[in-house]
This record gives sequence, structure tokens and C-alpha cells, in this order.
Amino acid sequence: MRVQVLTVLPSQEPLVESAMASWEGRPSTIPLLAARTAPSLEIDPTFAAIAVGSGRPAETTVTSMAPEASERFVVRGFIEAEDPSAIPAMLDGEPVFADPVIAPFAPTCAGSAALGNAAQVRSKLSQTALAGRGLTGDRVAIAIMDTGINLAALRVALGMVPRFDVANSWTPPGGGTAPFAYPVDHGTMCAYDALIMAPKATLLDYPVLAANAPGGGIVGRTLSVAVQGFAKLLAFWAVAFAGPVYNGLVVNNSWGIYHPSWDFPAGHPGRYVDNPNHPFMLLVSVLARTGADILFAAGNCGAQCPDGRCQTRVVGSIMGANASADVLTLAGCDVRDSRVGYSSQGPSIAGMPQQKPDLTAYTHFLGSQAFGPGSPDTGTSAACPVAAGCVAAIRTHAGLAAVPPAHLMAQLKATARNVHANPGWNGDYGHGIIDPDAAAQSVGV
Amino acid sequence: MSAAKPSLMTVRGEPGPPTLAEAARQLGLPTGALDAAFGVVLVDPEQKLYCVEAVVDADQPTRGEEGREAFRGPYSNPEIAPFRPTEDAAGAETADPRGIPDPKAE
Repeated sequence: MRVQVLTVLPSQEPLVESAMASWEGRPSTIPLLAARTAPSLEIDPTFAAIAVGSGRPAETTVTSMAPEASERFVVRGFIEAEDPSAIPAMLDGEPVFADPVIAPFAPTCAGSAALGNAAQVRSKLSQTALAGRGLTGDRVAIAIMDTGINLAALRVALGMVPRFDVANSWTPPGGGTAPFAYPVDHGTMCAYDALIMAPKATLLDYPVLAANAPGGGIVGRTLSVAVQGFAKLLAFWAVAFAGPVYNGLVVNNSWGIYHPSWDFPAGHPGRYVDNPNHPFMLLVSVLARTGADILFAAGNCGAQCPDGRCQTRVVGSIMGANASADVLTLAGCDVRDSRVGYSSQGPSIAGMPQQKPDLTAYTHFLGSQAFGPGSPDTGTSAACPVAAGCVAAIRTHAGLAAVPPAHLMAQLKATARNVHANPGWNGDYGHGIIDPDAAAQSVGV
Repeated sequence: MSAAKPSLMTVRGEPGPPTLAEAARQLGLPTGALDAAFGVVLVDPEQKLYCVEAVVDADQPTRGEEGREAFRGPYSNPEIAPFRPTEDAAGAETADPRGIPDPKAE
């Protein structure tokens, strides 16, 4: 095979002329191929020689790197080898270096393969440290407001039977499916991802996105179904809190609307996307005031690869309750800590709190495989329940009286790991990648 | 968006939730305009505020009795969707590809 390499040659006239011509932006008057080289090296004449002084970093000065003064030059060339391991380390006493193909770090998009897996997510978020302090989600409920959960598939994916609460779950009026018996879909993925960080949390199934939703069954998934689901959750939580059955309630919402055209026109007093007085917004706010930790996904309208339903609109794309001050809004990054290209960026839509998303959590990893073997858990849809699990873990010992939701949200933001060039909030990651161990310690658990 | 789609409206109830007929009366609508399957849903206990679903003209705002109260609707009831990215605009949902039985199909 013909392998492209870089090597160093001692000063000689063709190299000096090549470097000077390149520096001066003119053609070389001496062919680079006239340079003396090892027989096994074929110089690449399209790549100008580069003066590197003595070639020894400690001795190299600006003056010594002038082509006329340089003792050595880097050239690019090709050698024949059976495989890369057969490439010699030296040619005529000079080192040979790899010249690998480089490319921009492509953003993770909808069709990208899985990056990492649930175990890596668990490791990056210090789940072992949390569990070591008993922060496992025990006696904490996580309501999955989604397409419904399939317990059988979840059990297979987790390798264990998760804790679940049928009595405090919800079947939409007119719905014929029992909680935890829904087809494998988005809701099962969210349930799996929530348990990554809170394996002892109890799942509640609220199928607000189920296709057989009430309200006539014509429009299917509409906000009115979420209104019903949240109202039921509010009623349940009031009773359970008095019980008390649970130490905390974490509400996961990996859904939203993709474009304002789905809504009433701008300026209509009944519009949803930018209206804190919309009944659903009021309900979210009331539920938060009763002590529920509510999380919403930021959305999938990020600039690099927005979902087609965003209709190329990538500015102000965090809308509705997803941009509410009463919720924690999650962006998504892959296990390399790189924001996934579809994760919606802030600021949010005008009229709503602008500094959204609040935090970033991991997505696009191999997890539930709810959409087929090898399929990653994707979207801010997956980032949101990963963060919900973090919150549930902290809630194990962080009581509502000592740590109300607003305080916990503030601590999660304050302790987030900044991976952006600038300190403070930014539209890509919010306050940074969630750090549940640091947040837990900051609230004393 | 179509004016014929169901929208959300708010009504008051004290001491408890209003009946569907009472909610319709507050909104100046026939009872049949409200969705009985949706019912009357508590939104804010402190404000004694409830929500109903109705098919009304989105361009005709409704206010409280004698026009003294704030806007009561129609509020938008948009489609909502999971935030799982798709490579196509349709965002088609995926049936269980692993062959785990669909309980609804049994």
C-alpha cells in the first residue's frame, strides 16, 4: 500500500527554494523532486518544503527557521509498505511521521451512530459516588409524561424489574391500555434513561403522547391531553405528599412543539409558545409550587442539524413550557461532551425567560435500544430523563422543605460543569453539563 | 391551525368545580360546544381556575361575565410531539422493531 508520510530532510537547494517560493507566493524555480531523498521515499511535489530550523524544538528560533538559515525541512511524500505497521521509523537517519487524514469534528446528528453507552453516561455522571451516599432515587417518583411505558421491554433492557406504581399512574379517559403496557416507543426509552442515574426510583406512567388520547381521538397528541395528565398528576401528588409515599416527584417531559406555525398566530392572546398565562403554563407553575421538580427537553431545532419539523427555524426555538421559569430545560451533548447538532439553542422565544436551556445532559448513546438493536437513545428527549434521574437521585435525601425545587434548580445550575469557552450561561450548553455529585454536595447530601 | 379545532377555555368554580353546563354558561356557549370527554379540569386551585375544551372560533375572544374578567380563551391547543430527532420532516413513528407484542393488538 502507498502510505502518505511526513519526513525531515537536510537543507539543500531545492528545499530552500521551495520554502522561499511558498513564503513569497510564487512558483518554485527548482523542482522539489530534484531533492536528494532515500530511495524508498517519493516526494509529493504539491506540498512545499517547510523550514524547521534545527528540527530540535529547544534549539529552534525564528531566525533559524528562515529558509536560507534552516538546517532541516519537512517534506511530504509516499512510501510503499505492506501495512501501516511496516512503515520505517527512520529514513536515512531522519524520522518518519504519520500524516493522517484530518476532518472537522462532525456534529452528532439524527443519523449518527451511537456514541458510548449507558455505562459511560453513568460513569461520567459519577453514579457510583452518588449511590455510595445512598442517592439512588429510593422513595422518589419519576413521572414519564410520554407515549406510555412497556414494562416487559424495559425489564429486558435493564436486566432487572424496575420499581413502578400502577395505582398512581394514569390512563387517559377512553384509553384502553393499562399503564406500563403500551407499545415499545419513546416513553420506554425515557423510562430507561431516567433509571440510569436513579435505579431505585419508582416510575409513574403518564401517556400524554399516546396515540389513542382522549378528546375525540381526531387530533391525537395535543396539549389538552397534557393538561389532563398534569392535572391528574397534581391531584395524585397532593395526596401522596400528605401520605407521604414519596420523598419527591420528578416530572420528565421529552416533548414540545417544533414550530410556531403549530400554534395560534403571533399576538393572539390565547397563543401557547410565548404566553405564561396559557392554562398549561399555569398548571406547570402550580405543580412546581407544590414541590415537583419539572424537567423539559429543549427541543431538536439546533443549528447544525435541525429536525425537519423545525422548518429550518433555529432561533428562538425553545418555546412554551419548555422555556418556563418553573422548569429545568435540558440541552443534549454526546459522551465526548460535544453538544449534539440538533439540540435547540438559546435564547428562547421572545416573551419567555431568555436564558434557556438551563443545563446539558448526555444523549445519543446506546441505551434502551427501544428503536431496534444498536439504535441510540437520541434527542434532547434522552438528555432530559438522564437529568431527571440525576434530580431523582439527589431527591433521595434532599427533602422538599430544606431544598425546594427552585433552590435545587439554582444549585444544579451553579455546579454545572462549564465546557464552553466563556464562563457563565451560553445558548449551547446553558450553565454547563449537569454534575449531580457536585449539586448533591452543595445541598448537603 | 384551524378555527374548527378544539381549543382550551378557562372558567371559575367555587367552592368546587363547575358543572359542564355551568362552565358553558360562564362562557356564553351551548353545553354541546364543550367536550364532555375532556370534562372540567382544575388548573390553579388558588385562583379556583378550571379548564374546558371547546370548539369555538379562534378569532372570537371570550371574556368573563359582563366582560369584566380577563381573557378566558380560546387558548391554543397545539399538536405536541416527542423530541426524538428524525432524519425526515415527517417524523414518522416507529413500531416496535424487536417483535415485542403490542398489548393493544392482543
